[in-house]
Amino acid sequence: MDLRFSIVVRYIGFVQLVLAAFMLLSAGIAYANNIDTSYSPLLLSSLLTLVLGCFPMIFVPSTDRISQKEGYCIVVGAWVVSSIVGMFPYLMWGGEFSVINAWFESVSGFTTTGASILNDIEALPRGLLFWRMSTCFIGGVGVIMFALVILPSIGKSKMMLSNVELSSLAKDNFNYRTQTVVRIILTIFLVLTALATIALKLSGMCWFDAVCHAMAATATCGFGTKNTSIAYFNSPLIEWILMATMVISGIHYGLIYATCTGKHNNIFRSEVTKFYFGIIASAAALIGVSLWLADIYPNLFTSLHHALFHTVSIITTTGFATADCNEWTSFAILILIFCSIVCACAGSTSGGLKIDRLLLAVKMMRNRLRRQQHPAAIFRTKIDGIPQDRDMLNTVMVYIVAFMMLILIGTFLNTLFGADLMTGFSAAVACASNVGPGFGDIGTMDNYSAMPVITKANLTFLMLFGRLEIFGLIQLFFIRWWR
Amino acid sequence: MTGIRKRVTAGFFSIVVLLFFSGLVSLYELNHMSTDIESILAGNRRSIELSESMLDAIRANDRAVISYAVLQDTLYADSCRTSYEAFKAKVAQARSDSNKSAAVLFDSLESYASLMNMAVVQLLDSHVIEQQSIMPDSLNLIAFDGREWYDEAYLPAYNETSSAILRVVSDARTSLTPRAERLSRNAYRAVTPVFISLVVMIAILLMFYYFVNIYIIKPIISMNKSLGDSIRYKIPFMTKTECRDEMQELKEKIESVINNPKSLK
Repeated sequence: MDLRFSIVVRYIGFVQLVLAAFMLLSAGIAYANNIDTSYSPLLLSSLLTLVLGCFPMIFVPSTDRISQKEGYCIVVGAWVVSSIVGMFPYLMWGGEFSVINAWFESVSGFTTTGASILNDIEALPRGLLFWRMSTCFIGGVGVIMFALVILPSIGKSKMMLSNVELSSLAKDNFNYRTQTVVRIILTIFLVLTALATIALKLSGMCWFDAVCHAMAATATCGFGTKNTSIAYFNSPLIEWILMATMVISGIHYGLIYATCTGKHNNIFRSEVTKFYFGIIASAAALIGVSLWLADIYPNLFTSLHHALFHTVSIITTTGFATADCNEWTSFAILILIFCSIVCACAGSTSGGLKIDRLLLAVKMMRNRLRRQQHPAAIFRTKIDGIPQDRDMLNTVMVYIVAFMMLILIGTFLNTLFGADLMTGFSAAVACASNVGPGFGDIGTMDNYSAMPVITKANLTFLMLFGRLEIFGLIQLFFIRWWR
Repeated sequence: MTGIRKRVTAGFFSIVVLLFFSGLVSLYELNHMSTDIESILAGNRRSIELSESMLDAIRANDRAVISYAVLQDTLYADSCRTSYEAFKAKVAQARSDSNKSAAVLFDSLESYASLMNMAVVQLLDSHVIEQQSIMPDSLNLIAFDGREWYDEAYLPAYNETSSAILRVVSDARTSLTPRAERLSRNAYRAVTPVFISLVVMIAILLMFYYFVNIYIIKPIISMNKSLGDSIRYKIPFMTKTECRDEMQELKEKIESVINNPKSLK
């Protein structure tokens, strides 16, 4: 089937209507906050986005069949167009938002990276802060997931959107129809956000901060409302609540659903989840002991607490901070960089390489060694006792190589335009994995504002590549040659 | 409204809404800018006028003092008092027109001015100039040097008063900066929404062109070609449309007429 551009435009239009609704909600918050300075920019942006979203829907009739090619175009197109439209409120408000800064902040939000160019987040009015959180919330659920909910034809059609939206591994874990998948993701997402909001409110945050931080934690984005991130609140209880939210958000949503509904294949049985918890515990313990031995914190418990918070924050690609990690030991920084690359489980809102792929790669390496010892034996790579086919394993290895190449190219470009090696490398890792904060000049208590314009542009492309799992974006350029 | 008409009207309506919207925002922000510009200009003009009138008044006072004390022209004695009163009046007017934040500067100005005036009043009250002017030089026991008095008793206070006037003027001009900044912000806010509206409008125009082309123009061309082929070569009328509106109906009606001529009877 030929690519129907009009269908692609129609469904991208749907997504823009969701954006318009969130802009209107943010304008409502600005109105409630004594009509702050973001009220008119948000209202005007909402109107423009509404017209932009409605227009294709007037012309293009709905369809009950969407091809794989169209699905790819809708996902990638929606992400790019949403990032452009998401700039409108920032640009109209002004302040620190130049065109490149607005683009960076918007892409960072929609890809749930959480990297920021803002020197003074607290100078932003509440309406604009809420819009900033909304971008990561929408990005977290997946722009396309929103669109799918309102599409009447999802159940009938073989939608291929989830191929890009979720990693291929995650898709295989779902044994449900697309419509069910969308419902599961939305339900888990909303319930988790609501629970986190209530818990944060009870632990001492105001309603606004509680909602914003719950949205950012569930979407594993890491945008905050304070310049010093979570360190501002100086509350271990808040940190534990956010840690729990981030850890849950980093687990495959299908597994969370299965656990909640009492199914056999649940979090406690999943090999991937066990590996995920194992890596978090090991990394936190190693970092904690390293910090304690280096006398950075007064006692082992405080060292372990900070280490655990930052490990969870980085591995789930959230990016919240309670301390300046640049002050930590090189060993701790190295482990955190490893966590930034590996990240959490497939089927969650986190980015990066995904822990599933790491587990498969480790098992493949083990099988390779065993095969050298027993050349005649047949070894199959299994996850949860299920043998994985050769194509899947090849795809995993190709993805790992492609991801490493992406980081290498990103580092090369960052250093070419003036960044030092640590800043350049960690910026490439943090953006390609959608983590947000890195090390060096872009540490947990710093931001990307000092980066040159061209580096900021380069980093936004890394974010998009990372979010769309590299090939999702690359394939768009070869759409006409698809068969 | 029917399908095609509804779509085309909606297309044009969207463009009109955006044009209206961008125009409205521009007008609103330009109106704000105009008010701010007028306010800045008026403030600047008032600041210049006040500074000129205060400086004129203090110079008039200075001329009178020089004529009286240095040139020892007793006719200027009253002029010394009246010119100072005129200067005081100008300062009072400037104080009433200025911001509350400038009160400290005005207090300082008035204290220097009163020091300056005190020296003149003491000289006037001593009548030393008058005595010196009516006595012959040989009998003049009080040797009063007007130039020395001017340099030592009067000039330092005069200079301080002049500096205080300049500080008041400078403060008045500084107080215009926030307004100028607001003006710059308004200019940005007038331009950005219009620019964004124009970008959205261009996107909508491109979409409009594309949709009109594939949902209206292409089906008409296709049906025309197919109908021509059908009449000329007696082949079945075969055409494909993606729309579900009057075009689809037209196609089906033509198909039914061409492929089943008996249906006309």
